[in-house]
Amino acid sequence: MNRYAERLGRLYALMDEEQVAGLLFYGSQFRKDYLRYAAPVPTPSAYGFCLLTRESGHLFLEEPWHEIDPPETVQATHGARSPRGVSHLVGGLIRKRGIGPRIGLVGGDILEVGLMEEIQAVAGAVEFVPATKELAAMRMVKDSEELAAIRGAAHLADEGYAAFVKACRPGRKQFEIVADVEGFLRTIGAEDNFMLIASGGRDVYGMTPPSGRTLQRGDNVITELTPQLGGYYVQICRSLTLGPPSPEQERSFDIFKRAADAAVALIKPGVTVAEVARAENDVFRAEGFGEYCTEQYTRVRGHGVGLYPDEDPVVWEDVQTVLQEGMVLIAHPNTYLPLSGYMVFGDTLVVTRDGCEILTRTERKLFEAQG
Amino acid sequence: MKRGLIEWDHAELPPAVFERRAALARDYMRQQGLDGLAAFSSMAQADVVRYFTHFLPYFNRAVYVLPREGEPILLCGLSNRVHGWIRSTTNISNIEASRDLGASAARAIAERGMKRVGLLGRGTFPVQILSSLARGAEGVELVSADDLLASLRWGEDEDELRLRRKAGALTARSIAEVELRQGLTAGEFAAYVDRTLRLAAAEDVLLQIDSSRGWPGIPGTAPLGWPARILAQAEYKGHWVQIGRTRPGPAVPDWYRQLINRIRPDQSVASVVGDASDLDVRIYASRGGSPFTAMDLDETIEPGLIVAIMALRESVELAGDTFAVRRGELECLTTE
Repeated sequence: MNRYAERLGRLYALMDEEQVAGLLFYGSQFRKDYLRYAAPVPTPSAYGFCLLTRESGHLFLEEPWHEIDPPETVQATHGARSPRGVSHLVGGLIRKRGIGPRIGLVGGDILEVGLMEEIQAVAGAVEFVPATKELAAMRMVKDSEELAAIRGAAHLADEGYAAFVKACRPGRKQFEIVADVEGFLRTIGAEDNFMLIASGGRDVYGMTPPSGRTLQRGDNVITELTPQLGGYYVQICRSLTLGPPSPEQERSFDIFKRAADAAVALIKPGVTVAEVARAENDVFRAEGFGEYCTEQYTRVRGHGVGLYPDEDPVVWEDVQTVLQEGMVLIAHPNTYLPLSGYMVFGDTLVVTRDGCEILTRTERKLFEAQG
Repeated sequence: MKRGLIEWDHAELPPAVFERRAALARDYMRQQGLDGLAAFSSMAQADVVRYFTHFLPYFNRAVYVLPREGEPILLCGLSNRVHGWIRSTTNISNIEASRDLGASAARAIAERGMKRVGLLGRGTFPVQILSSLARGAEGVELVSADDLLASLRWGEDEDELRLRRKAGALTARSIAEVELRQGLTAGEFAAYVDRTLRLAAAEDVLLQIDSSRGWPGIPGTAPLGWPARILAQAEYKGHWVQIGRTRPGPAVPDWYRQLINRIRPDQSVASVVGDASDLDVRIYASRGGSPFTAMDLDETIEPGLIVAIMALRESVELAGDTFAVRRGELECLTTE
């Protein structure tokens, strides 16, 4: 029994819907989610393609990384020395097998023109049609293999945040804290991590990679931590204070907590993403902070999580996507508030039959590190 | 994403370096009759825009437009809230958030009255972005400016090399420092190297560590056997290096030294590989793709290139360093 039968079935259905003879997936050094969905195997290859048709699956990687046991979704792996060489192989197989006249292209938003032109030149008169958005929509609902992998990765977020709290001390620089957390995550087997950080007070309007700023007693220290294991990311957002929280920090956190709780209480199949965003924002509005729920101060009110740390659906008041069982997302009301600056709070959760289940176990509170 | 320290230290890389580079680009535009240049930037294609601006995308993407006359502009997928951070780490002041980079670049080009624009690293633009740019820039001639990239000769640019040497020394040292012991896992090995490099202000670290035969894979949590092979790529201030090592063992084994000593600038990759039939040799070039792009057999190790030469011997010993290809020799950039 192929454990990816469910996924392949969905992909075949997508091929029928889009009227394509196959799907070509691309992955690059820093974005392999499309590729890994079709060929669920980790690879150090800086790029790769997977060509799936109803009849067969082929994985193309840079040598020598193609020398692996093929994942269950493909029958063969192929390797060439350079990106151009790999693209040539892809085009050659399409031509040899007469796959066409249309092939869906997944990852056209990252696939380099030079590689696409090489494929097209060799493949001949095949039309490549965009299929990235269609696949992203399909990927919002995770299959059973994905859910198992995400559940298996959740503990990394918890352990990673515990390491973060331990690393935060007055006198340390932001990038030193990240170095500690990265080292810890490597030790416990994380494949990658998406991490933003900020520290300070009302002057903090958002998060970036770490700076050389030194942490000070009284700081609000925030992070979005998103380790990856088995291909899947799990995100946790928490805020902490260095030393006891000020009344403003406590009040601010209380608003964030209630907003996130409102989202969790609402999330279930049939609810729209817009309703989730509205539930979060209403808490801010009731406190007189509605303007801080706009694009000027916040990016999104949550998002999907999976093979990529920032997937569809985007949680925003104008997104009408209907939640379904098996979707995995984080509802995080992260934004700036004049009470104590930018604050973050949220957990990755899975939509269940009648509600949702939070996958991380870290206490949902304002943390306090030694000041 | 990049999650190390991203900052611009003006003492380490003075603004004049970027002014000189922009002047070179503008000379090229005048010679070629171009009104401007456009380049794409992402984590996987960061080097070109970084070379002119010190912009390092930690996430998301951007298109940089450098007019022959006037202020450059960065069209950027990152939101307005981080534009202050971008300004503090680059020489770019004109930044515009965009959800459709191709269309926004087309509009910026049209607004500046450009009629002929060179694409720096045309082949590295994503399919969707270039097609959106081409659609939006109707009436504008978009031509390849890849010969400018080749003429910049990063392997002879002292500012480029100085920072690569620093990246190389940090990386080589961190690998050499790992204390080998029974039961050490690949993850623990990686943790030491990763943490050490980030504490030294590296932005990004990619590691493969293994003790089974062959090229090393993604490090896991199983104990290593010995010898173990390490393939490391690290980035310091946007300058990547690549290193291969075997631990325990000399940083540069005799067989690898002999391989490098045989290589001559202007030699083809095919002849290097053919001359070393007892080794599995892979050569990577730094010319826009980040970190490095594998070279094909029909390519040449041209003077001015920065290359990483990795070699595996009898599936057990791995060695490799990053080199600047000079007219008469290869200069190793990754020594302790």
